[in-house]
Amino acid sequence: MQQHGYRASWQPDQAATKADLREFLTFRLGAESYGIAILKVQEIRGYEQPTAIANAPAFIKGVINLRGVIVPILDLRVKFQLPMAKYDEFTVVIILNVAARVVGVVVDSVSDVLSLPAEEIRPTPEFASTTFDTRYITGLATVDENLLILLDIEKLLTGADMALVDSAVH
Amino acid sequence: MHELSERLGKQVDLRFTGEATELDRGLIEKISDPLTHLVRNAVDHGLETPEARRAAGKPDTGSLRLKASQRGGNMVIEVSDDGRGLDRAKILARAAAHGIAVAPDADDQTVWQLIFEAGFSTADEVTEVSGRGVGMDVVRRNILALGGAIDLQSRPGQGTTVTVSVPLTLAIMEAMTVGIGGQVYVLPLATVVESLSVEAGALHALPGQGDTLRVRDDYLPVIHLARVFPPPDGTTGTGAIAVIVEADGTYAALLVDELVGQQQVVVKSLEANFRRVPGLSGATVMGDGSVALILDVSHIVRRSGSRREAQRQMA
Repeated sequence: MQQHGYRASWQPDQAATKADLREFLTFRLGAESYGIAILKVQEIRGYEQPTAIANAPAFIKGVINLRGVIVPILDLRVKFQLPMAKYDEFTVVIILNVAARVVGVVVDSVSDVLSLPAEEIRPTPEFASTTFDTRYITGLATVDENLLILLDIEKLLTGADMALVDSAVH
Repeated sequence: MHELSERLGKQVDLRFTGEATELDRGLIEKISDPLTHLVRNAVDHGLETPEARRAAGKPDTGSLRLKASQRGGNMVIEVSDDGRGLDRAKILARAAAHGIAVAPDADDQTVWQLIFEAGFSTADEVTEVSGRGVGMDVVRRNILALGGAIDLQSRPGQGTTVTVSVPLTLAIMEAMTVGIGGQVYVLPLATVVESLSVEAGALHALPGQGDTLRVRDDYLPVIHLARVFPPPDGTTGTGAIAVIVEADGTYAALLVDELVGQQQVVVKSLEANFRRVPGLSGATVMGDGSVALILDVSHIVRRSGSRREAQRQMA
């Protein structure tokens, strides 16, 4: 997380399979498509009203009961400061397994599962400060002439600004 | 244990009963430290040296009993010795030195409770006082944090018995559910003293101090839970009901909107997938599948800064 400065290119994933095909779950947040490594995904559910946690940041919607386990729900749309984070029957929660935790993230809709050869993944251009750090973006890809932003969801969710994990993990 | 008794030059006959009582593994880890503390205290401060025992007409070998039993949903552990017992006069003197007001004719129970006071008994003070107070406040806090209780009986010259009771499992808790601004929160029933409706005009704002509520002859600090845990819909809550809670020997009135009910809840960790949230000790799943958050009463009372100690007459 401390790596600043020039990033040569995407970093190879240990999940790279034969012929360097990597599988991504793609979803939409606002106008853009994002992809996350499929191996991090546990399941996909409809949105249900979570129990709000007072004084938590706005993107933490609360906690839900996922078959007896208390799981926090984050809204990436709020985190990415996208307008119109509405909750309707199409709102979807992706349950992820990251950093030995189960976490749900709210997205606008889930699109597809696709395999991308490593050479189709392009490095991310560097920007000055944006709503979130570009180091959470592992690369960009073009799918059917549309941009797909590949996220390192684990790094994103465990980043210090997410307030998701204790700063001092004991 | 043996090392301890040798070092102190005391002969101890240690006996266990009820070893077969079963306990939650997580609880064993949490209770072993306080228990070790109690045993050390009993040997160090409770039991006399063989010479002193002989002079008092007791056998040279002091007796220390650890008795475990199950009572209802609780595990009861008694640590008893046949030592010199607590010294009432010295405890009272120590209390006076600490500025704790106690009537000289207070009953023994009241006096014994003093050794559980925070800061009452740091090691060097109490060892010489022959009381057994080395960190008893810590022991009590640990036991209370487990939802348990600690009690002490002592007779001069005959010994002391400390009774610790803890719930058999940490996973299930007797709870009171309350509504705050449309949300349901869970209060551990062990912390609840009583609940009453707040009459109009019963709350008084102290200048620069927050509100206070008169409960019979006492004025208790008031904590508006809807302010500590602002409801997501922005409402402020009615605060029509005051739940009087006791935490770490402090009483406070928590204002809630309504009492929902009383039930057993299964305590689940918030930290497993999320993080520690100040003021919350966990979460539970209600009958309808929704999640309710469990309030950490002692944290809330402590953080409110509205300490009101020496309220023992309420108990």
